[in-house]
Amino acid sequence: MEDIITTRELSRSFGRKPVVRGVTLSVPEGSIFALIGPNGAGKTTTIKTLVNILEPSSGEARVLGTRSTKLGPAQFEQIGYVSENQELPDWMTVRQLLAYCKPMYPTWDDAFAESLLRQLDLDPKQRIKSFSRGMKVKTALLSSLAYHPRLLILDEPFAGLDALVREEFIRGILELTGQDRWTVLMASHEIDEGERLADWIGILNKGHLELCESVLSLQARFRQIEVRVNEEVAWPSPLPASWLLAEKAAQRLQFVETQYDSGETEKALQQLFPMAQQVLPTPMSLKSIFLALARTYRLAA
Amino acid sequence: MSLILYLLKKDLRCLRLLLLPWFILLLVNSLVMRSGLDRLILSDEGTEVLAAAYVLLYVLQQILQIVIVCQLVQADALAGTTAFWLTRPISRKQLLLSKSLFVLLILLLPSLIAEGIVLQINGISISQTLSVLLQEIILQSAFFLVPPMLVAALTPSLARLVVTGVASATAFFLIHYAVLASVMSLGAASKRRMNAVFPGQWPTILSAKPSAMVVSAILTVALGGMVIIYQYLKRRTLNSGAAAVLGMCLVIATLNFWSWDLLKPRESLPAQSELVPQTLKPVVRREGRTFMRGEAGQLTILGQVELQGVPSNFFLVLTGLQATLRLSAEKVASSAFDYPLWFFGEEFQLEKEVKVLNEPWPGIGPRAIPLLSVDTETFQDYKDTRGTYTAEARLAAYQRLSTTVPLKTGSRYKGNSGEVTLLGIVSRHLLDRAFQFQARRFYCHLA
Repeated sequence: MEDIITTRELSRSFGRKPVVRGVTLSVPEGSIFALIGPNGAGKTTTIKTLVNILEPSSGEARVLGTRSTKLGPAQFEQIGYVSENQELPDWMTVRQLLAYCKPMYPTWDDAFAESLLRQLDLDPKQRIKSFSRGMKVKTALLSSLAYHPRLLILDEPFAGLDALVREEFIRGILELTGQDRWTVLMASHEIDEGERLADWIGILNKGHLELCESVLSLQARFRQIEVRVNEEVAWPSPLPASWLLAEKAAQRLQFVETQYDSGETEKALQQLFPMAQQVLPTPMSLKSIFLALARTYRLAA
Repeated sequence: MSLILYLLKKDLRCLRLLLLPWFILLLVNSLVMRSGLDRLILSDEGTEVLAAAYVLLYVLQQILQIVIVCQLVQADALAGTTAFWLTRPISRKQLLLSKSLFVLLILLLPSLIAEGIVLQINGISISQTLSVLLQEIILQSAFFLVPPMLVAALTPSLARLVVTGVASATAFFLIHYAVLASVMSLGAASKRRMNAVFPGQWPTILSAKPSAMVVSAILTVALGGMVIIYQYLKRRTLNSGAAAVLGMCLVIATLNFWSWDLLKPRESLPAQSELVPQTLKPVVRREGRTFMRGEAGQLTILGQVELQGVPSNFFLVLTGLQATLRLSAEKVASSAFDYPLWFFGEEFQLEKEVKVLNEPWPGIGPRAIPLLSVDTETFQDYKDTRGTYTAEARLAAYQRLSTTVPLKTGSRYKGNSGEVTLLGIVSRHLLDRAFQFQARRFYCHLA
C-alpha cells in the first residue's frame, strides 16, 4: 500500500523554541490516522507543516508524493483540510461558498454536495458569519468533501462540537471514508473519538513522535497485567523494560505490558513467578494506553 | 486565467458595499472638478460649509480607497496561518495577479478615466492628458495605495493592521522629523541658514525639496510594490517586514538628503534680479501716537519700517525684530518680536499675520508694525525724552518670478514651482472676466 504522507526527521521551531522535533511517520493510503497528544504537543504545527502553511525548520515531509514545500494547486485539488481555526469567507452564504469553491476542483460533485448539505443539516441561504462554531466546522467539512479528496486532513475537528454533533460528525466521516477509501489524517486530543475513527495512531508528546503504529497492533501488544501471589515474594529487579507503571504491593504486582504476546507472556510470567496464583491480562482501550504512556513520559521527564 | 478572474469576481462581490460609495464619491468629485467648482468653493467666495464639504468628500474618497485595498488584501490574508485560501488550489501567483487586476481595473482605471475625461473636456490634448495621467496621477494614486496594501499584506487581521499602520506612520514621522531637525541644525550651511532665518520653526513633512519628494514617492511605490510581490510569492512575513522597515529608512534618507533637481524646468525662468543687502536702507517712521495696550501694563509702540533699495521683483518679510530704545545712560528699554512664517520646501507661503514690509496693505496703505514694548511706568517717565532706537531685524527675501500664459484652454508652461495648465475659462460673478482655473495638482503664476 502506498504511503500518502511520509515525514523524515521533520522539525519546526518558532524562534528558538522547538515545537516539532524530528518526527518520522508514514500514513498509508486508505487509512484513518489519528495524531493524538496533549495540548501543545505539536499536532497542529505538524499538520500546518504538512500542508505548506508553515515551512519545516529541518527534515522533510512528502504529501501525495510531493515535498510539502512544493505543494500547489494540483495537490490541493486532492486535499481536503478542516481546522477549528480556519477562517471561512464568512460574508458568504453556504450556497455562495459552494459556488466559490466549485470552479477550483475538477472533481467537484454537485449531487454529493447537495446530499452532504442535507446530511449535515446546513441552511444554504444562511450567512456563515451567523453560524455557531460547530456549524462552521460542518461548513468547512462540506466544502472540503464535495470534491472527493484523496486525503482529508482534520485538525481538532471536534473542538467546540456538542456531543450530538460530534456523534453525527464521526458517523458521517466513517460512512464517507468507507465509501470512497479516503485517507484521513486527524489531529485531536480527544482520544475516544480517535479510537472510534482511527486505524493508525501517532502519539505526539512535546514535539516528539513517541509512537506510530496501527491501532490493532497497538491494542494487541498493550495489556494491563495483574499478578497475584499467596505469599510475599521478591519482585524482580530491575523490572523488564517492556513493563510500564509497575505498582508493587505485598501480594500483588500490577503493570502495563507493552510487548504482550498471548501465551508467551503468560508463560514468561509463570517462569518469573512460579508461585503466582493468578496472572490476569486485561485488554486496554486506546485511552488507557495513551494515559499510561502519558504518565510514563511525565515520570521520565 | 479563469481562476484569476473568478477570484477578482469574488473580491468585487465581497467589497461591493465599500466600492459603491467610493464610485459615487469619485463621480461627485470629478463633476465638481469638471465644473470648476472646486476652485470656487475653496476660494474666498465659497462658503465655509461648502469648502469643508468638498474637502471632506475628497478625504472620504481617499480613506475609502485605503479601506478597500486593505480589505482586498486581508480577504485572503498572507500573514498568519488560518486563511481559507492557503489550503485551496489557488497558487500565490494567481492570487497576486487577481489582486493586482482588482487594483488596476477597479480602483486605478476609473480614477484615470474620470481624470482623463475632466482634462479632455477642458480642452487638453490626448497626448498631454496621457502624459499628465502617467506622470502625476498614477504615481499619486499608487503612492496612496501601496503603503496601506503593504501593511495589510504583513498583518493577519484588521485589528493588527490598524495598530501596525498607526505605529508605522508614527515611527515614520518621528524618524523623519529627528533626521530633518538634525540636518537643519548640524547639516550643510544652506540648511543651517534656513534654521537661522526661521529659528524654532517646526519642520513639516513637506520641508523637503520637491525633487526629493518625487523620488521618495517613486521609491515608496517601487520598494513597497516589491515587498508586496515578495510577500505574495514567498509568504515570509518577517523578511518582508524587515524589508519594509529598511525601505522606510531609505525613503526618509531620500526625503532629507536627495540633492539632484530632476524637476528642473525645460524653459528657463525670467532673469533673476540681484538683491544686495548692503544697498538696503531701512527707514523707521513713527507717525502719530499709535499704541497697542498689551498685558501687564505693557504698551506697544507701533510704527512703520520701510526698506528702500529693494528691487521691484522682491518683497521682504519680517520674521523677527529685536529692538532697543536707549532713553538715558541708565535707562534702556528692549523687546523682541517673533513672527511665525510657515514654509513649504523652498517656497514660502505667507501667513495672514506676516508683516510684508515694502508692500502696502491693499486699500489701507503702509502697515504699522510693533516697534517696541515698554511698561506703562517707563512710558510715563520718559514719554517726552528723545532716545536712540536700534533694532536688529530678521528678514526673509521673497522673489517674485512670473511669466505669462496665453489665455486659451490647454496653455501649458513649465515653471520652477510646477507646471501651469490653463484648464478652462469660466465666468465669475456674472462678469465675463477670465480667471485662472487651477487644477488640484498644478501650481500657477500669472502676470
